[in-house]
Amino acid sequence: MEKTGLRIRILKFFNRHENTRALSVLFPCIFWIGIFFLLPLVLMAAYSFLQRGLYGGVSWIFTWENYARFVDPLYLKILLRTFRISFLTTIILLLIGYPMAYRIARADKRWRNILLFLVILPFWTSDLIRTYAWMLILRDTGLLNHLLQYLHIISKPLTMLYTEGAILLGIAYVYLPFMVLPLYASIEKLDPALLEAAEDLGATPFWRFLKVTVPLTKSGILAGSLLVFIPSVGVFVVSDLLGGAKAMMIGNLVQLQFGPARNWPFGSAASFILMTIVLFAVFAYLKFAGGKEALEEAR
Amino acid sequence: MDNSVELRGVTKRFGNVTAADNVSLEIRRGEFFSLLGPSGCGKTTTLRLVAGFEQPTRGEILINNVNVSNKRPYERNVNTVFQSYALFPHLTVAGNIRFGLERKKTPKDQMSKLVEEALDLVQLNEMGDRFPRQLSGGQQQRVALARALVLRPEVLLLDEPLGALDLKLRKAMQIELKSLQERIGITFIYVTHDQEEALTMSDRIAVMESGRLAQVGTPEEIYERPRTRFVADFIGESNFFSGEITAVNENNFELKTPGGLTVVLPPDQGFSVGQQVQFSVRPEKFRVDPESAETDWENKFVGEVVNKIYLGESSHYVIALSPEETITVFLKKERTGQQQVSYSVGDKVLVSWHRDDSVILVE
Repeated sequence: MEKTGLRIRILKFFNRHENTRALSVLFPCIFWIGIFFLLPLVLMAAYSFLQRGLYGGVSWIFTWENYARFVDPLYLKILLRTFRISFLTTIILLLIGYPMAYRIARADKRWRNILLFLVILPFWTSDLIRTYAWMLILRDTGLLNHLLQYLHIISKPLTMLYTEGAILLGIAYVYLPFMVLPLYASIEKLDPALLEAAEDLGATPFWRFLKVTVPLTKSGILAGSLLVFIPSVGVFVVSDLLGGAKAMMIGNLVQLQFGPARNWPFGSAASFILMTIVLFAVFAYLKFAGGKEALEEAR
Repeated sequence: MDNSVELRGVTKRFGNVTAADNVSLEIRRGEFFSLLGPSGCGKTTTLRLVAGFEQPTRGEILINNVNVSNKRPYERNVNTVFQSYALFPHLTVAGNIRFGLERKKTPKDQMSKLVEEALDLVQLNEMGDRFPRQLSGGQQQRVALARALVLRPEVLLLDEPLGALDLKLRKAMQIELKSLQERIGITFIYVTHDQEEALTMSDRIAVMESGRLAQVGTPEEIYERPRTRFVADFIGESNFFSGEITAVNENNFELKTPGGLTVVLPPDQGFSVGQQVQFSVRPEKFRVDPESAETDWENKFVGEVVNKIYLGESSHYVIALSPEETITVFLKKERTGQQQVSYSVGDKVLVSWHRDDSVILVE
């Protein structure tokens, strides 16, 4: 009885204070984001304007230097390569992922779950191990070169490892599920009657795809592209293992500064530059690709 | 030869389910033709075969006297109004109507005129800029209609287009659809499970039962002269009798029912004594008089009122003619001034019907 009375009093309190109730529910979330996201971000923002300490760490002297360093063609090249690779990965994954997601979504109910399971199966091992596997396949004395030589397609090993292509392949491989799953979700919701209606009104399969399927699965295309593009910009494990020193990405640079180089301020500045560009890119993309839909939604 | 659509022995199997079984139909140009039957009878499959969404397992489909059996939907000059309307949610009403015109590469200046006309046809002139989800069910239905009709198809296929509307709107749309069809003169093939809808709108009806055609005819033929027990039962209500032929006379047959009634049947077909025959009588064909009354109709039997349901404009009586035969009778209300007779449960009454109102069923 005592407990029930207390419960009622608590409930009554929350009924009177709607906002407090909302806050109490959101609190864990706010706490989490505050401690593990916002605070480090503020710290990094501060670091990026400070000078590097003599023995690592920072010395509290304000400077623009860390940002100014980026004008160097060396870093601009890394930046450019990063976005080129991420952009290409996104395009490649769209081209591979869409037909895949489409087939899965239109497959028999029984098959659908098995196929979806296969898509997420690689998640069961760490992407580090999976990337090592790619090294074994791609290196000069690796599986692929052996096979091609054995089949007399090539006479001496192709250089595949430590190229931009290898990074592209590695990232595409790791992020495929992130493209397929949102695409699957939106394609699966697509009403088959709409596809029939398109055909009925004279649309060949090509036009049907362009005018009905793509616009109606746009949310999946947007989500999948962002889920692939954003993390692939920050990739460093894959590019480290498959790209080596020849094809450094900005993720590697940041890792290098925070790690071996012990230049936290410069690493922070690199992170912020990356973040700013990604933010603008995503914003522009959503405005360009999702604009009409957003407009429609607002009506 | 002036057929819009012709089906020749069309069979469609899905695995080991036969959805359409040897269906042969000739649908005339400008006809309002209905495919009527319970769910799962194959009417929608038949429609989809004509649309091109399904390919026949066997048989041929001709549209405008050209074999189109293996043509894709976009190669056929037919358009469909889907049960769910299937309007494109990402396009406006005008965009939906334009969809087919764009595929046909209609010139721009002509296109906007055609869209206007189509909107006009279904009285949605101000709605062109709206999106489908902003419209009511009835309005969406009209958009679906306009989208299909703007292409001037040889045949318009309608798959239970009024199924999702409430009763009042459905009635209004029935009349509207029918007059629209008469105005534009396009052949309509209309799928419905609603017998009343089929009767009010159609020029001819095909009643389907488990993939086969049960009967094809005008609404009047279907209602007044059902061929089988299924048709008689599915369309309207019927009282079924069966029995053995006891006498073959010059212009009628006599039949004895298990309950001992001797019924006179019309001389439609050749029967011989001893043959088992089934027939049906519609509930409104009976006359009910007080027990002592006189009637000149050949079939008259004294029965007892078992149940009575008052329905305002009419009353339904359940009357036992014999321990074996119980019938349902619909009696219309008479006008004031005319003799009004009402019976109560337990009353003895004289039930009679005309010989020709007994419809002999083949199965």
